[in-house]
Amino acid sequence: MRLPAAKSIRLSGLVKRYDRTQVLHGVDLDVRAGEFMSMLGPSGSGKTTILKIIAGFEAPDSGMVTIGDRDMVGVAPEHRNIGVVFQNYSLFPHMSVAGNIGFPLRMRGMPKARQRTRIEQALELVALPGYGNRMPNQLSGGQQQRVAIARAIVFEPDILLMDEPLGALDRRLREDMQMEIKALHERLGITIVYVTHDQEEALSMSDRIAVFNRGRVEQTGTPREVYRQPATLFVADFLGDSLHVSAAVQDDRIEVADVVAILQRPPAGHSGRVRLLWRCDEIEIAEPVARPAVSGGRITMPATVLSVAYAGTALRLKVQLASGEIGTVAAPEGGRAETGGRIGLRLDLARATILPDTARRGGSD
Amino acid sequence: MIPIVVLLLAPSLVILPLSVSQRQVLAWPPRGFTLDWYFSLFASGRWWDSAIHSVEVAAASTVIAVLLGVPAGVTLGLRSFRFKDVVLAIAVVPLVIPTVVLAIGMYKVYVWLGLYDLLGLAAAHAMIGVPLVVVTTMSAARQLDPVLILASRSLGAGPIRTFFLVILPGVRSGVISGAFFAFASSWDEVIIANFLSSPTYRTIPVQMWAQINQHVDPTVAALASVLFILSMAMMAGLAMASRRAR
Repeated sequence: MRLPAAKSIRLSGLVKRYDRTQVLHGVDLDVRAGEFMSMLGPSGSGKTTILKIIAGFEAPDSGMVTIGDRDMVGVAPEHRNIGVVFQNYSLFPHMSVAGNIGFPLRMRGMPKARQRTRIEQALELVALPGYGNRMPNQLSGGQQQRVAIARAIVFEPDILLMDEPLGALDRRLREDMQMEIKALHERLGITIVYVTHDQEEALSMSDRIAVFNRGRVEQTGTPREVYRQPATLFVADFLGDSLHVSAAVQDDRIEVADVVAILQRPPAGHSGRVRLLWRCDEIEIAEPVARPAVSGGRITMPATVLSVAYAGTALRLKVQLASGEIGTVAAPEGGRAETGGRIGLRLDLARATILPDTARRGGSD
Repeated sequence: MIPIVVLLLAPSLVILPLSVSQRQVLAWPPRGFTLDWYFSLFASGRWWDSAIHSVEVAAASTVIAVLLGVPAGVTLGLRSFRFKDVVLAIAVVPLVIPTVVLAIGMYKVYVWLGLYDLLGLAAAHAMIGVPLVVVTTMSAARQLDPVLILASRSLGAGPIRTFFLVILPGVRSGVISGAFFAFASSWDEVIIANFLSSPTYRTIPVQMWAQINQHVDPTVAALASVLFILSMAMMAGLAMASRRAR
């Protein structure tokens, strides 16, 4: 089964209000044909609202939705030809597996015999051949979700929307299903919009990620881009552990914690107060120092270890700088960090991400 | 628990021995054994007629109650809108107003409109049946996952097909029990039926009422026994149907 040409999605200027709260503040987003795009953000950030608008379950107050070259404003969900997979499977409980998968084909008036072939193909695609006669309540959560996926692709939709489809599964099963969905995406070549609040899931599955916060897109980019070059502090914090410190930039001079360093490449577009950010694995742990010191483009800073957590392959240290700033640093397993101990942190200026020094904007839950 | 059950059931069970008593009047204690009253019951055209009338009225009023009550119950159970509480209150008003008050009002209006016997009784009983269907359908609809409706729409079913293929099967058990209650409440309704039926179109309760006021013939006890057993059988049938629906 290979779907006809994949379609692109273009969202422009989407605004949505519920009563007095504005949930979308003018969202623009382009999803390329055949792309696996994740919409990542805390709950309440607007990502599910976007999904509902694309599916046609909700109408935006203003803005445009275009799929392929078709304007979707005012088109009812049943006429959009979009597959949707929901978090709680949402199989029709009174229909068999075959009845569920055949439902969209029946709605399209497909002859019974062709329906049967297509249902069986779809079941094979999700590794459940011969399950057609089972009832949904006879299946495990993972099996139900596969049936839901089969039902959402059997009618060759233009795009596939997935709303936290693995949220109800346990960790191990979730990881297996991530691989299966990824493989399905490669096999079918369909455009997928995948809503999740799990950053690891988004990083491991997506071609690109759109990070949402408070009804806006904070950043869109490949998993590597949003992780290594976050555009805002929110993106940096939402996508993993890091340490960021306040700094002042003027041309190629940078002042951090009362020491001044010269940058190799003057940062474009930044001057005045900024924040320098390192991912937790970009920081080297050194011998304790009394005060910050610069040498060879690297700053060594004194820090206090607030807590040590074992994270499997490495330790995660919560550290506090003399300035009071708190961050997270990865340390090799077997290191001699202990809570309350004093250490030095070696920060490579060339690897720092320079961010505007906005007040920290967290997502609201 | 058991004393309460005995207290509730005993008075109805009294009619069973009375229906086979050899005494010529309805009187306690029963004496001897005879099936004469059953023979005279089944031989009587009057009783058969009233049984047919009762079934006609109950069936017609149930159909009306389901047609009106199911859409209302589904809407009230699935959607939220302004004045929803008011709509629900209005829908269940006929259950709260004393039946005799309803009956007098209807008597005046329906007779003026020419609505009596089958037509009038079906309409009047539907009024009592609608709230029963609304309430049971609504509570079934509340259990329905609203995402199923979105799923159905996204798969290509419009609102009408979604109603018949997804919502209606989802609230089936509520509709069945509502219909059963509506049928049963019409079946034994005597006050409105007394007002709206002419002497040629009596339902069973009306006929029984008239009979008891005229002669105290144990045929009534035989009939009551038959009805008692029939109701028990219907109740059991409903329990089985609702178990299968689940």
